Amino acid sequence: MSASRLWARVRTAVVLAGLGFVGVAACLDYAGEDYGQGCPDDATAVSDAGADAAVSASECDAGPSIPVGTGSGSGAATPP
Amino acid sequence: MNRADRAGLFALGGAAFALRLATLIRYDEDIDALRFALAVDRFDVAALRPHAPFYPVYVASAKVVAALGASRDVALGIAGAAFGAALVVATALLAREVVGRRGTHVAGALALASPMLWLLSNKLTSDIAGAAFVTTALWLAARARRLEAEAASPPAVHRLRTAALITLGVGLGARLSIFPFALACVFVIARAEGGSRALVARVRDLSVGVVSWLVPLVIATSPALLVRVTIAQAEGHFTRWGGTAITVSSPIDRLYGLAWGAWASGLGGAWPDASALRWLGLPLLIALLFAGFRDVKRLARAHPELAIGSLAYLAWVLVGQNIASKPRHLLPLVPIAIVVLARGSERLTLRSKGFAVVALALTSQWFFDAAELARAHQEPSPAAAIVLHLGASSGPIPSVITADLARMIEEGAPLARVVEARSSDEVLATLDADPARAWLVTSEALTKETRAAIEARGRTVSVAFSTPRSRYIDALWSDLALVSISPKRPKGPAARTPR
Repeated sequence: MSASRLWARVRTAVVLAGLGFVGVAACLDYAGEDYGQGCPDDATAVSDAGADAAVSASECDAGPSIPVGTGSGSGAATPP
Repeated sequence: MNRADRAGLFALGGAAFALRLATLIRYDEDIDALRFALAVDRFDVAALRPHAPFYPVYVASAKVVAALGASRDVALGIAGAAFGAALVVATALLAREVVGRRGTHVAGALALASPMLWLLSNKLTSDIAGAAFVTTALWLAARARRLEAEAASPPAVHRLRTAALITLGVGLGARLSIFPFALACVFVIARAEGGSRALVARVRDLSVGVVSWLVPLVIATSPALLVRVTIAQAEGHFTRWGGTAITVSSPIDRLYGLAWGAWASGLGGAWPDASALRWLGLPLLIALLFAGFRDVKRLARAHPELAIGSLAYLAWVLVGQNIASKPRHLLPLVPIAIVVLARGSERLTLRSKGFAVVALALTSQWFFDAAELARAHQEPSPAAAIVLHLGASSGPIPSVITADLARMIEEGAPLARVVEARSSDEVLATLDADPARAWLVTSEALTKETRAAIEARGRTVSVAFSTPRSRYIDALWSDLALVSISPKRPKGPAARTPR
């Protein structure tokens, strides 16, 4: 087998293995989703660090909230 | 390429790196920069550290620098300087393939001095990394075209194209918005190689680069969370805040942004509110552009990856990016424009060697302009200065209403009481809920109508803190201010008429 053919097969194998890994990880993640596990027992807010939003037990049971923060693209600032 | 050429390119990259390092910034310029800085400390998709699409290659490169002991801002700055230096070298190499040996010198000098390339190397954002990957890939593709035209061995050409597509695949992990270049190169290269089988093979090569960052990203976080946050952020980008054709729909605003962004910001062209020095460079820039564009059709035919990639990217920026107020989205097109300028210089010097002074003079004008902007860029941005001002406040805890700066204030001035208000109604409702309280409002949350409505309620509006700066350093939020709103004036008892 020529070096170029071998290199092409290596590339194919890398892509198949990589995408296969991602696919399996996603399937396992979706199948195993249970956000009740590991939630705090009380309703005390739990903050991981700094000014990150706190997560209450009720929020934890409902699954992690999806933060929707704006980028800095919401328009030019114009002082009054 | 001989040894002298290699040494010249090495010196060019070293000079670019040193200049960018000399003007590092040490503050979080806006919310995107803050999120990148937070990601260097701790990468967390759910906490938007950073925002989608998470830029794993860019963040990883800064994390490597941080692991050597740099602070998060310095790590991002050094990574930006390195990508910026790579971009300067890649631009020179691209010009070598497209224009020729003399074009290498002109393009290298212009790329070194370009105000946009310099400033964006200093910004703590991923733009410069994305542009470096794109330009490197275009250089490899252009080299393949030239070797093919010179009847070089097919495996050598094939290898260069493979390298170009893998580079673009990795680059998507630094900045996903360069995808039009990636798609254009896949299709153009596959077309040149003939047929659907080539297309499958070239999609695979692009995927090799993608897998290199996608697998670590999936290992670092939950795939389900990754998908959900990405969908939520993409929806917001396209429909609420991203500056797309949906959120900034005025064609006039978008075309003005494109014209000003490409000419005054991308090419450092003269504009009434820009540096007066630019008027000296105006005839030089026009001469090089005019001479270069006369040959652009031939260049496009010889290098379709360059031409079709640029057009596809321009179309994407016009529709899907904030072109109205963020000219940095044009960055990947600037190295290509520099190659056109280098071709213009080449054509002029073919007429008379004396015309070499045109490119030299333009390089000097760009250099002085860029150095001045980069120096001014080291002072905190208006947004960063407001956060510093709030953080340093020794009086009563300030109450701040803001539309877009909540995360910056929470991180930089954690004692401040912050209320997010994304509309005029929300601002007014917050004020009405506590008429006796004095408020500070960041000016991006105020419109003229909102201000009039506040004054009609018996409150006084005045600027409390403001450090405006040139929009050529950053077009967005260049005039951001902190506005003070007084408590509502109590209605006094009716005056009695003395008997």
